[in-house]
Amino acid sequence: MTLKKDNALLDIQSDLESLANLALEQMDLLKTIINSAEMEISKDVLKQIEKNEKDIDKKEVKLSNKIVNTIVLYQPVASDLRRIIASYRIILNLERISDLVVSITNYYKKIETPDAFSKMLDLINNMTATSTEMVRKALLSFINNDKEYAIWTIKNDIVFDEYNHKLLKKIFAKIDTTECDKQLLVSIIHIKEIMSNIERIADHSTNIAEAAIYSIEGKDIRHHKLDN
Amino acid sequence: MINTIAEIKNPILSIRDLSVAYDKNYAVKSVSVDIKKNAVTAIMGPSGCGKSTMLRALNRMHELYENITTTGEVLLNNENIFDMPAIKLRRQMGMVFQRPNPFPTMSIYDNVVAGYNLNGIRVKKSEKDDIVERSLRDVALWDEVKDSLVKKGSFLSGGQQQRLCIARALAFNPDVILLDEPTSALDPIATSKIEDLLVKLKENYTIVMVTHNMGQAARISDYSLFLYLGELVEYGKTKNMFTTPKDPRTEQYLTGKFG
Repeated sequence: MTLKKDNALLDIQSDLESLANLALEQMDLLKTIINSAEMEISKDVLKQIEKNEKDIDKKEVKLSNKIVNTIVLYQPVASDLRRIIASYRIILNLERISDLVVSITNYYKKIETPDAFSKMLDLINNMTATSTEMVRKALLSFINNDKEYAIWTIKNDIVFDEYNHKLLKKIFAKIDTTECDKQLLVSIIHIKEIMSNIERIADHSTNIAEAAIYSIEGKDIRHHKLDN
Repeated sequence: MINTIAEIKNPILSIRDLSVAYDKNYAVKSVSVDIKKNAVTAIMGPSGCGKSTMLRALNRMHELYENITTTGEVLLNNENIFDMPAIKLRRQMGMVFQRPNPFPTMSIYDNVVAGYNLNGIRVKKSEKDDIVERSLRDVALWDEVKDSLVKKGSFLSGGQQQRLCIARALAFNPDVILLDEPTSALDPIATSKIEDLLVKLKENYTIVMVTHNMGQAARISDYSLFLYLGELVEYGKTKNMFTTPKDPRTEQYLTGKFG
């Protein structure tokens, strides 16, 4: 029974890592889009994002079923149980991260005033890079049973929230607001949506980090402040 | 020993430094724990760790054997069990064994009141009738056997026999029921019925149960003790022990690394 259970758990871990790699690839592709400063997204990049999204959706369903089967068949307890529950929480968050990447690319395509976007480019670049790093570290925390990466991610989420709040003010400071341009307003809305979606990616990375801590220590720290 | 429960107020059983040795080989080593009233406590551990030895010590069964020594203190309702007459103890602390063992020559009725008859305790017929009905109702057997109380207990199915044995223990209205792997000889359906029964019985009795079946311990126990090589390694609420065991040995046992 233990051998079959252990193999099932290793199988889930392997599938989760595969799903995680796809989600990280989505984030890297997003970084490529934003770094390029081009308003036109390369067709190859778009195609890859869409393909990854479909793969992630399929893997999420397959992995969810594997997790349910493992619980039913092997009734894991203690650290095995925590790991499997954490895995389940993580795959849901990874699927949402991929959805958000697709959503960001859709808003990106709708920006009609490149000039407005280019003024925010550095800031959005930083946000994207930070959120990508948060996702990466949260996942590493779970895969390597390393609490420190999880804590780093959770602490950065607080910084990220402030970052996003300040950016909104800067949008209006940097853009000439005497210009009452419908196109500009629409672009600003889309830029704001891009930023909000990046912030949500950061939130999901925090969820992954919290799941990692639950797996490692058995503590559910959701909705709790982290002690400094 | 890791005890993850801060304190049990007014425990029904207080065990202090309980040790049992077979010819100077210790099978139970200095176990100290409080057992909560009206709860199901499961004693778990790998084979040979001292679970049944500990349980039998609580019933003073080892006194039947010269080569077994028991030391320590066990308070039942604040009274030391080693200071009271064994018969009195066994009225307050009933025992049920792994293999159902109704007395084969006795009827169902006589099996239930065997404790009274064999100890020469005189009870009016009407009282006996009440005891039999109450005990058999408590184990959900009354409706199945009320019209055949004169039949031999051995004619019942395995699960029914085990419920009859529990009824026999309940006849004295004990405070504690000790069960040594009560379902390991039963089929899954009978097992399920016994498990449901034990959960119901804890409303009025305290249940202490040895089990090899971790799933069973998880399903029905409120508290769990983990014994390893005669020592009490960890004690706590079952749900906490099964999700976040504190001792690495408990973790390894629960995840199947040994046992």
